[in-house]
Amino acid sequence: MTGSLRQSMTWLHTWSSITAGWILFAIFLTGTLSFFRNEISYWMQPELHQSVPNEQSVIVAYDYLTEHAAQANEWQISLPDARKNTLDLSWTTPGEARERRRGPRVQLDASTGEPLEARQTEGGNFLYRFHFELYGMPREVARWLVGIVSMMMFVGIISGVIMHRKIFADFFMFRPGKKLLSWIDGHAISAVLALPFHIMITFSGLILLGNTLMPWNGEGHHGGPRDRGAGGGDRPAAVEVAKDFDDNPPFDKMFRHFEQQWQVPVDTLSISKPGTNKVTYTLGGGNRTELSAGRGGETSFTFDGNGEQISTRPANSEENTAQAVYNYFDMLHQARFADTPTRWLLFFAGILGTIMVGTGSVLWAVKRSKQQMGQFGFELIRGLNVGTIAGLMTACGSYFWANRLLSAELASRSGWEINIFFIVWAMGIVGGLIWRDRKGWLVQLSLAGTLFTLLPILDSITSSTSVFFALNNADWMRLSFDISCLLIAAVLWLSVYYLAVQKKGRRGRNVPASPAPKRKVKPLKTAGGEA
Amino acid sequence: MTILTLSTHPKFLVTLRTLCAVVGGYAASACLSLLLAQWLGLTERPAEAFIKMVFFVVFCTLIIWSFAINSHRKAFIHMAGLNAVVWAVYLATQGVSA
Repeated sequence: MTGSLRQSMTWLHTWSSITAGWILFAIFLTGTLSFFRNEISYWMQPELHQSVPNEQSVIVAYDYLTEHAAQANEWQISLPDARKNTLDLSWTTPGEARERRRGPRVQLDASTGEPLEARQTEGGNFLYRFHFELYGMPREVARWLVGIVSMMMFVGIISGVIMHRKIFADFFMFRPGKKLLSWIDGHAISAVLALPFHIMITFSGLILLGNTLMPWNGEGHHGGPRDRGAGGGDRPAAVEVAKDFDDNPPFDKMFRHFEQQWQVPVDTLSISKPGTNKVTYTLGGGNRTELSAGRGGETSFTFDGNGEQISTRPANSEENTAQAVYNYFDMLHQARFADTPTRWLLFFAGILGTIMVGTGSVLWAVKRSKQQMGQFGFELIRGLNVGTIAGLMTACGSYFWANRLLSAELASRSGWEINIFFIVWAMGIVGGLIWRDRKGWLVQLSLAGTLFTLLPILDSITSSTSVFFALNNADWMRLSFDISCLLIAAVLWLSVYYLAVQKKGRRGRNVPASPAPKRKVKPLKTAGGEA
Repeated sequence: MTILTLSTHPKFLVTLRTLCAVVGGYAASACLSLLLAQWLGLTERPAEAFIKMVFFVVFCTLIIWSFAINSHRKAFIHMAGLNAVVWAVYLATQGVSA
C-alpha cells in the first residue's frame, strides 16, 4: 500500500483472506468432500449396502428388463463399477409424453435383481451444491458471493506467494514447540505443499463461475447465438411390436472384445430395439482418452445381435485451443478423469487447502491476541473462528448422524438432514462467540471428534448390513467412507491433544492469563507492517 | 468532518484504494480480455471460454499491481489512466469494425 512491496502484499494477503476466511473454509471443506460425492451418497443410503456386484450382474439386469420393459425401444444399463455397487436401469417406451425427459428408472440389487428403495436424502449432493451455491438464497446471489470470495482467495494466494520472503528455505524448516512460529509453519506448509492445487482449484472454480461474474460475456456477445444442435422431434407413437427374448445375447463375446481392447471393464450398456432382429448393443467403459472436449472423452463400441462389432464412436475432441484449455480446467476442477489414487490425492490436497484456510484465520487471531485482546473486532473474529471452523466439522458429523438416526419414512427427511446441519452449525457459532478461548475450541473439536469416531459404529448398527459384511464383500465405497471418518477423527483428536498440551505448558510456565491492556486501534496508514 | 480531513483519513483512503483496485481492475480486465479475444479473432464459444480464463488472470494481476503501488495518488492515477487507454482503444476498434 504505502510501504515496501512485501508490506503491501502482506496487508493485501491478510485482509483479502481474513474477510473471506470463514466462507472459504466452508467452501473448501464441502468442495473437498465433494470429490467423494458418490461415496457419500452411497453411504447415506444404507438400503443399497446389501447389493454385491458379481459377474452375472448384466444377466440380472437383462432379465429384469425383459420382464418389466419388454416393449421399450431402448434400455440403458449402468453396471456396477468402482464407484457404484448397484445396477441402475432406465428405458424409453414409444409414445411417452415428450415432456418426460427421462423414462422410468430403477435401482436393483446387483446380485439378486431385487429393486432397492433407498431413503430420501440429498447425500453428497448437498455438500456439492453448497460449495458453489450455498443454501437458502437465490442461486445467482450465492454464485456472486462464492465468486467474490474465490477471487479474494486467488488474490490471497498470489499475494501470499509474493510476500513470502524465503519460500524455498521456509519450506524445509519446521519449528515445533514455538507457539506462534508453528502456527505459521502449519499455514505455510499446507499452502506450499499443495500450491499448484490451490492455484488450479481456485482459478478453475472462478472460470466455472465465469458466466455469473461476467454477465457481459454471455451468449450472443461474440457473433450471434450459438448453435445448440437440432432439437429432437416427437417420439414415435406406441406400436405393439412382437418381441422375442428366447436367445441370450452374446454378452460374453462382446464384453471380452471390449475389455481386451481397452483393458477396462464395461460399465455402461445400452440396448437399442431389444428383442427384435435389429437389436444393437453399445458398450462403454472408463476408457477416457481425451479431455479436451470435456465430457464425452470415452470411446464406445456398438455390436449387432450376433455380437459382431459394427461401429465405433470415438472420443470427442475439441479443435479450438482456447476452448480445449477451458475444458481441461473444467475437468480438473471436477476430477472427472480421476481414478481412485488420483481422487485420494486430490482429496488430500483439498484437505491441505482446508487446513491452510483454517490455520490462516487462526493465525490472524494468534498474532493479534496480545495487543487486541478485548477489542470488539478481534473478539468477534476469534469467536467466529471457533464457530465456523470447529462448528462446521461438528455440523458435518451431525449431518451424517442425522442421516442414520432420522426415520427412513419421515416426511421431507432430506430437508431435515440439512436443517440439522445448519442448526448444529448455528449452535456452534453461537457457542463459539460465547466461549472464544481455548476451552471453546477444545469442547467443539472434541464434540466433532466424538461424532466422527463413532460414525463407523453407527454405520454398522443402522445399515441393513454390518461393517463386517462390507469387509467380507470388499465394499470399498462404504469402507473408505468409514476410514475417512476415522482419519478426520484422528486429525480432530490431534488438534485437541495439541491444544490441551499447549494449555498445560502455558500454565506450567506461568504466563499471565489476563488479557493485555487495551490499546488504541492502530491507524491503517501503517497497515502494511501490521499483519 | 470537513472534506479535507475526510480525504486524508486512513480508513477512507483504504476504502477508496480498494474500490479503485476492484472496480477499476474489473473494468480494465474486462476491456483487456475483450480486446485480446478480438485481436486473436476468436468468436462465439471459444471467445467466451478464452475471456473467462484471461479475465481472472488479468484481474488478479491488476489488483496486486494496484496495491503494490507505493502511493494512493499514484495508484488512482495509474488505474484511471490504464482504463482510459484500454477503453479508448476498444471503442476505436469497435468503431472501425462497425
